[in-house]
Amino acid sequence: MILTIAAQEFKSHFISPLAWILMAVLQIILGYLFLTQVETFTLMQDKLLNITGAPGLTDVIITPLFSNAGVIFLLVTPLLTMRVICDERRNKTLCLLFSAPVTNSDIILGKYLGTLGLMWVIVILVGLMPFTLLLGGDIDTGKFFANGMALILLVAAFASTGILMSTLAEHPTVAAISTFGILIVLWLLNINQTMSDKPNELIQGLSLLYHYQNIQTGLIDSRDIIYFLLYICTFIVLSIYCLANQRLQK
Amino acid sequence: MIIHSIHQRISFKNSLATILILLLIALTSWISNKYIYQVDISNSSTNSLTLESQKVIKYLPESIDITAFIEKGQSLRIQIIKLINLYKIHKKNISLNFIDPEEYSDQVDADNKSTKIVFFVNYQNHTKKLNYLDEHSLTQALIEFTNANDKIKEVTINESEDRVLNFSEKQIFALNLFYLLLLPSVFIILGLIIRQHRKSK
Repeated sequence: MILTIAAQEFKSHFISPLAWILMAVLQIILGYLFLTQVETFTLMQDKLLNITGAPGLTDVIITPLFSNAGVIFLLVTPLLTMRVICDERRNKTLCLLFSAPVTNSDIILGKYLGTLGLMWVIVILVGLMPFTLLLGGDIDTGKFFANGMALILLVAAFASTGILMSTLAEHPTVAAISTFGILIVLWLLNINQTMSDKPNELIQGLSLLYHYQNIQTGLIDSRDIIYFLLYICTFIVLSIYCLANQRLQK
Repeated sequence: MIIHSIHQRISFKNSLATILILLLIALTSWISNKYIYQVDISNSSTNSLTLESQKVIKYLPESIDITAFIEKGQSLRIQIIKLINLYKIHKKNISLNFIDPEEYSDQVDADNKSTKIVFFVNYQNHTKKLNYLDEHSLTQALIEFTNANDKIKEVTINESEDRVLNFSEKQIFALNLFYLLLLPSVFIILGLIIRQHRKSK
């Protein structure tokens, strides 16, 4: 049942022009940022060759591309997730879902996976860009896969926050603003710790950016992966709990 | 009344299940910080110590103390912490202390130091002064504390292999055309077709 709801949700994105326009806009922004980095690297590669331990093609082009993509997703996710449950409630179709033989977890996980499907399509578009670099050089495939994995996990975490806010809020705008608020706080939580040689471990541990950047280096740490998985689980569990409460109040 | 009590019971069950799952999540988080597993998947292993460095520290069983004179708030401190953490994976008894040269100017002057940034590596009663600290310089300094001079001559640090990009102007122009015009246009056209199709329905 989860997959049926997920497939329906995924299709609903693509039968509206919104997803296509969004993909076009993101392609232009990320393509521009990618090509700027390519130009920067071609200009400074001669100097880099003479420096011991200098960053390579992957560090200069691919890692910044994925970092930029993370910020873009931070802005886009609230727009993609705000309507997921909220609109069902506003259009009174949530009652139809409640009366169907589906559990709360089926609804939340189905909606979540459907939205995540669209976001992962955009991640694939981002991930395909570095392959064009193979026409003129080599890339560090290990770091590339680390970046890809980091973005997949980050996007999944963003979507889970969006789903919870969409379940709680009465209006899509409120859901979008609150999702953006939570994500930006968790993103910037670590900002004043980055320059400190004795950073607060709790604040660092909660920061999305800290864990994202850790994976991007290519050093896969079990703590970073588990952080993202637990983050997703927490928000999904809370979404299911909120939906269950709403179902009982109907 | 019956429905209300049933709802209350279901609500209580839901709350209990949610609290239990959240506790389980908190427990998993705590355990994940106790048992850490790391793997460097970068092709050139730039996040790991070289085999030479790993060999050198095996010859040094006693504790190594590093004192770094770096001003507060400098990003170099973070880089040094990251570097020493790589050594700590293989050698637990290695310590790092930061001293702000502004606060301890007497101590710094006593060491006849011309630059503000300086590092002192101590092993047993021996001290080595370094003006620059990276894996290469630190391991070279540690070699001098060992009797392994004959076994390890030179340290070569892990370098990125992807350092050349040969793109012609034509190729860059083609990439610009593809990423900024062709691909977005395809998406917009598809969006418009779908919109038209829905309108005609």
